[in-house]
Amino acid sequence: MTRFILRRIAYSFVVLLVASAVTFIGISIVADPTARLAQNRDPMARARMRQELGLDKPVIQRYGKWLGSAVTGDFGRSWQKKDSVIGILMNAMKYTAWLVIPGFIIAAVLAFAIGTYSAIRQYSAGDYFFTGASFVGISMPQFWFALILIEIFVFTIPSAFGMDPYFRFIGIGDTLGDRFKYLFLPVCVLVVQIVAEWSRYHRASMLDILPSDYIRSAHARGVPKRTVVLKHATKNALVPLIVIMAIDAGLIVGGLVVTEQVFSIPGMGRVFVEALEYGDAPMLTAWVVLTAVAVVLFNLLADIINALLDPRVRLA
Amino acid sequence: MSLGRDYSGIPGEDRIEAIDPLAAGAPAEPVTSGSSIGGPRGPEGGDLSVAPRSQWFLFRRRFLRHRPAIVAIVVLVLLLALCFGAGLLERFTSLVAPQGQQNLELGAVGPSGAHWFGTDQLGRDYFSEMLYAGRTSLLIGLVVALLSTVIGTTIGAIAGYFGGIYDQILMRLTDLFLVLPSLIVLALALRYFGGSVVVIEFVLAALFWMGLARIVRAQVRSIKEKEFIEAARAGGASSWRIIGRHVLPNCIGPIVVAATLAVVQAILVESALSYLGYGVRPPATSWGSMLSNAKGYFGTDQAYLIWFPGLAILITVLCVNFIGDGLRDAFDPKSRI
Repeated sequence: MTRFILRRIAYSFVVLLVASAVTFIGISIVADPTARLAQNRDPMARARMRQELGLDKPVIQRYGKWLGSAVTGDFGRSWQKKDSVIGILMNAMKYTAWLVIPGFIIAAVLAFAIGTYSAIRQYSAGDYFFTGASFVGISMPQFWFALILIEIFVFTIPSAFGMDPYFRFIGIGDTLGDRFKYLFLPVCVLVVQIVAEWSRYHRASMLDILPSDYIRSAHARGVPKRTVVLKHATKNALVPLIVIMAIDAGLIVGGLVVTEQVFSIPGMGRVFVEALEYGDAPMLTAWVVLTAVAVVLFNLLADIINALLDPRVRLA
Repeated sequence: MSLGRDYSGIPGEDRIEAIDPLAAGAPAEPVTSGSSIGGPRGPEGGDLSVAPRSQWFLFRRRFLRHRPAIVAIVVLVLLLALCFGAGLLERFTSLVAPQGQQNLELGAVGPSGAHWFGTDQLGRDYFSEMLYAGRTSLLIGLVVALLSTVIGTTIGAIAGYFGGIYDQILMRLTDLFLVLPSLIVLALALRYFGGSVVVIEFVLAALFWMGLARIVRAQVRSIKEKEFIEAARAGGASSWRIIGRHVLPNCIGPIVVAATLAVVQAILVESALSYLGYGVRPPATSWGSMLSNAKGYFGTDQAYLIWFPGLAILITVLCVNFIGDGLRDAFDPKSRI
């Protein structure tokens, strides 16, 4: 186990190196933040800015310099916002967390309930309904769904949730009541999409477990059906759900680029879009490193959880 | 691929191949024992003569019983015919207006008999524009699926069949593509090469093949140890012939299912990219770019401009997902549906 973890961590450094190099060099080739100064009256303005940002040196050298300070934990300052990129990312994480954590909790509960129900009532009307609904859920363009929710909840039935037609989505509000108003729809978007996937997952693993011998013998011993399903079967069926939740948690640290864009939430997704537009190499590279670390860590966590919960799994 | 072929006339080695179940890894079921495969609900009733059933027959029967998939195929074919036949409809009927024909005096009016889906701000018939845009969206989905399937299958098959150093190199390459944050790569590539349809197709295909490559590699590794491969090799078949004629036809299930997933991903990702401003550029339009153009209209009388392209994407993706689900069930020898 320890060897497995150490090897994975060593491997993740390779991942980080590749991802940061591709991002840093890629964004430097694609976007030049000083391009907008080309038309400046002062012909030296652009040259000065290039020198200030270190753009007068070749890109490989710049990446080397960035890497040199990054390994000491110094990720530099954003070219666009002038603040330290760590500070910007921490701040953005706060907003994303407000969106993602409630979304994850609600989605986990719903996915568990729907998956269990659909499995024990396989091929019932309810099962077909949830199957159909989850197919629709995974088939919708995310931002379209967000726009449609705004259309319905803000404009068609505006009295609900205290949103009037003049309500503007920006930020996440200050008081708890405000938070609810601002976050209800974005969380809905997130929840519908992930419940659609997770509930199918949980249904499948319940259907895998329910016909097994130990479940049948539990029934035969006269254990109440409720206990058999919710205790005996769930214990084993939950493993895949927990594993996929851990993996998704890693993916979602990057924020919900599209959802945050639609609802003007200044989270991780927005930071990404803005850094990309501007050509903000230090900002974008730090973003990639942070999200890649999250993906690697949560994948590792998923494997460890899997091994701990399922004794048949051996980490190698 | 070779699924539809009648194996009866082909020399020995191929008939052996036909017996091997399509989805490797699943318990082998002898093809001729019709009763166990057909199940008690099979239509064979009192017919006692045992006719050999090909894998293709079983596959077809299982697929045809998946009603959502059948409905999805019908809808999708209609949609494809409408979109790609839009030019013909425009020339020979009055249902469809020429692409980009504006009517500034008319402006944006809601759906009516004359304009089924209404008109946009420039007075263009929204139904016609949707058909033209659908060509791009559907084409991106199909081309990306085709390209990524070809790349993924080739890399997976070579890595799995030849193993050794080829395996090492190709799988490290796959890992490399997997760790690259796809959003970054997409955005950077599209900024660099510009958002033409061909570029989008190639960039998306370059990002969607890794999962399939891994699946195919695993399948090929297990299939190449089977006796019928040994038989083919003993018969003097070359490696490429064995891969093409004996190994890959037995991986067809996962490959086809992965292809449907690639269609879905391509269409959805293209629409998200359009929303973020990296999608197809005018004059080309896609459902995603129409949606992106209409995004400011929620809460106004022109909200229908948002509804229609989104619904078109939803219906298309839903259909492909249902077909994928039907294929998955049909390729699974364990499924009795």
